[in-house]
Amino acid sequence: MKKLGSILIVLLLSAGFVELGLWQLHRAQNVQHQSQTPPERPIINLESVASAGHNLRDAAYNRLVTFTGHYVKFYHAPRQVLTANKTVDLQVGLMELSRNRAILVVRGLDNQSLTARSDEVTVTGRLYPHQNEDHANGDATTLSRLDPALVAGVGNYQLFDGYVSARSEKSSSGDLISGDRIPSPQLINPVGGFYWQHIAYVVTWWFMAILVLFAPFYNRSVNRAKDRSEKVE
Amino acid sequence: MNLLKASKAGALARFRLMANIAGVMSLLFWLVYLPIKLTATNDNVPNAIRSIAVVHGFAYMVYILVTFNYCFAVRKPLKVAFFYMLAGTFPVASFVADRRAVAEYAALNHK
Repeated sequence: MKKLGSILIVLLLSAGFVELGLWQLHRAQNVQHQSQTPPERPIINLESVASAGHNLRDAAYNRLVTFTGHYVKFYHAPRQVLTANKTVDLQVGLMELSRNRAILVVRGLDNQSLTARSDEVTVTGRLYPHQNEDHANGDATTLSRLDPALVAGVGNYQLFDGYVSARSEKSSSGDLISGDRIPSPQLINPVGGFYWQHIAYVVTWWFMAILVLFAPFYNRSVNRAKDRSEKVE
Repeated sequence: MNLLKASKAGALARFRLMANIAGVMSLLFWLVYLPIKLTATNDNVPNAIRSIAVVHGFAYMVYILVTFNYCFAVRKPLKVAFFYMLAGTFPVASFVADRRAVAEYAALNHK
């Protein structure tokens, strides 16, 4: 009876370790899946994926959105990272939408190619989460980072979380507004390195499962090896 | 007899090397990686810091293997072997295990 209990405990422990290994394997697969660029989804209305005054949901990140409004204020956003080795200064507009709501829009490079305008504009661009790290010192016309929290005191708007990097702007007459836009690629979760961490844990857990199966024989093997070495000596 | 001693000495050397590597990686994991990972927003952890977790994972895996090899070579009972393996998961425990292994090995050779 005691032996049966021990066998049961060993099998349960071993199965537990195998299960933990499988759990880590699934995490590794998820990480690998997340680090791949997902297929582009169709452009949708901003309000279908985001609401003013609420945190941006994960599902809203990277979506191509469109909305119409008019700019109420413009800012500089200096030293924004465009690629690994290149930083640029950007022009950012605070766009008022209907029902007293507003959103930050990165219009493009801050190099006079984009003129300030207050008429109705339709923006199409990619929705990104707000930035958390400052890239410069901020003031009334300079944004230290792309974060609607920095413009919360302007007007009395309900702000959308995150910001939109404009791919195109159209005037109310349907004309494209030209200017130096910036690329707006999909953000990829930078978690590639974690894949190998999980794989290491998979191997460790499964090795533990084998060790547990070997445990009932361990002391016997040690004793046998002890006897053998004593005989040799 | 010499061959047995040589294999024990080799197992101890491998164990000591991995105990120190796993100990350093464990310290980095608990005191550098985890605080940064837990306070980072949007999972924004620099790659250099991420690599600590990856190296820690593999170091522990190798530590388990060499610990098993060492414990078997010096005929340690299962309970003691279990605690030696567990020592790799705590920041300073593997250094303590290393010192203990050296002391035990020296005592074993004096017998």
